[in-house]
Amino acid sequence: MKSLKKDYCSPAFSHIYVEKAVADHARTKRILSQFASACVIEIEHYKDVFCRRGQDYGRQHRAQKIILAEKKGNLLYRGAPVCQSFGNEHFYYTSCIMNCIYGCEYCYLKGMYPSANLVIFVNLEDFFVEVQRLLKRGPLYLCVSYDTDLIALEHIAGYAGVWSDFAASQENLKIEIRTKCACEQFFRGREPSENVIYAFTLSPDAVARAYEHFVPSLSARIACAAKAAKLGFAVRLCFDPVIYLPGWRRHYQEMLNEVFAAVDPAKILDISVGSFRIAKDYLKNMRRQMPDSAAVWFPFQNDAGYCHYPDELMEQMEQFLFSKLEQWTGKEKIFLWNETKKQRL
Amino acid sequence: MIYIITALYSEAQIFIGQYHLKKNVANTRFQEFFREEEQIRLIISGPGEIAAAAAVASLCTLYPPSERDWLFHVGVCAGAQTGEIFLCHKLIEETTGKTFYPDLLYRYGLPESAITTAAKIREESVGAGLIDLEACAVYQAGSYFFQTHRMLFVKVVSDNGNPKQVTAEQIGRYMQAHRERFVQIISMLNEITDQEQKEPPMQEERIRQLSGDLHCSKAMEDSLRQYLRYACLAGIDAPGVIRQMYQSGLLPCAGKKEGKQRFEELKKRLL
Repeated sequence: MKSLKKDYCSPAFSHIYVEKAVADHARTKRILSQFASACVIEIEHYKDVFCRRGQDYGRQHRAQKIILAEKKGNLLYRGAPVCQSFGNEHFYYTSCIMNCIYGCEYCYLKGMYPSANLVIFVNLEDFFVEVQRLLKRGPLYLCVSYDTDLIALEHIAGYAGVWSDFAASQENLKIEIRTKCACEQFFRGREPSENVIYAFTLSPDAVARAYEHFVPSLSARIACAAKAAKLGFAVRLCFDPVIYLPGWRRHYQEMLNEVFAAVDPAKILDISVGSFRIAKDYLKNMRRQMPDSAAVWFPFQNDAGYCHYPDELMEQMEQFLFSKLEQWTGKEKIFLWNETKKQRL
Repeated sequence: MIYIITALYSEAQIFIGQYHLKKNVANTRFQEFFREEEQIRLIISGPGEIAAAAAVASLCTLYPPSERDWLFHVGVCAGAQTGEIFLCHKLIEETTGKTFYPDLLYRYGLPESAITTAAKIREESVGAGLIDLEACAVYQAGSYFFQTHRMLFVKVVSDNGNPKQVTAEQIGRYMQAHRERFVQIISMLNEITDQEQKEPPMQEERIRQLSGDLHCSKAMEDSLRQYLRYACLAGIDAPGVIRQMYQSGLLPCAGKKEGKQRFEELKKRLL
């Protein structure tokens, strides 16, 4: 028997749960073919595994499994009030994959989902049909990588590329693919389209070191964003969430210096700024899951069910970022998560 | 603590012998064995789902498990590969069609299989998969007390649908054949538990003293705890900040009004 003494955690994706209904789906087979040594377990419905009682998100994340399933019912959702619409009237998001391979302590997914396992819905075409149905009503702005990081999972699912191609072929559709990935490879050989916005979430190295686990370094993320912008892709820089830590002004200033030393501000589509904010119930779950995380145990202020940094600190942080960014890009390109604030700054 | 559940004495014997478990004669409903030094408590449920669920519920009610404890269901089952040992990754309840999935977060180093829990003993050949009489009941009862990754189901194949021909001695031998694996699993569970043991982030006595010196209301004390916890986790020198406030005469406070002012001061200094 192999020694169990040192290496206790199962390796990532050691088990793949597959809904019986999609066992023969082409995407299921393709994804399974990448994990020849994984133990495949047949299930009836993804919620039988994903929504079990008594799961431990934090520990599960260290030994993540994949669930391959079919998404039924509602496929697109209206954007939440705490999410930026970037001035788009018909703002929706979708979750063709749930959960992420990165381990950011402040990530709301830890509070929103009962499980850290990755759910990949293989019926992507059904999502496209729903998008086309909504497009008949008018222009649509759709975030496809909110509850996951599609580019980080491109080697497994390949969905970022499929979404990009689909969006490029549709009139009146604009999609946002948000990522912390630094995969320059993804952009090589791909045609830019104004329908597809690649949104790079950036955090100072100090924040990344303290709270973002298994995430590419700031410099790698900046290099990737710069490369994408140079190649003509629509690039959005997201300083959202802005996370407090002692000496935050210095850390964020250093980050901005590094960003604009590499990225030409003229080539940036726009910028989003927002300090950390989260639904009270999600925060409660996250605190239970992560009793040792300073990121979630900050003494936040609770306003009508949403927790955020105390007003004064929140204003300081957002004002700081806004005023510094303004010097590089001008006001027009900067979006604050709460646009009513912009007039005050 | 590891809570071991077996259906039969012949399945439990290996653990009783290996860890020198003592019988708890006070338990008159189920045979119960334990040894505090080894952090093991074992109960023999008797065969069948109701007996298994009752045994789990009884044990966990008498000795409520903490979130660091484990439920280890082990025993024999029917299957095609007689003598082989399996970790069960999917439990199927034959009577209801329900399925249960223990969370396999750790590397146990065992071959895996699904298992079907039947209501009565099968008299025909089993084919693929495993069949027992208890696993689903242990999971369902256990899930009231344990997280999914703290429940472990290990089965040794004793027969292929002809259980009446299997004697208690044979079951004992099948179990004994995997003694080393059982010992390694138990030692691994104990090591994981030890690794997870952490110091409490704050000292309760000091918080109470500070809360008293600030004349905190209940809401203020909750907020104070929040700030101190954050400071502790973020590596901020809260004890140093507080000490400085005592040394400069800002603490203790004379009354509630002053306490509120000092609390605001403390919050600013901590951030």
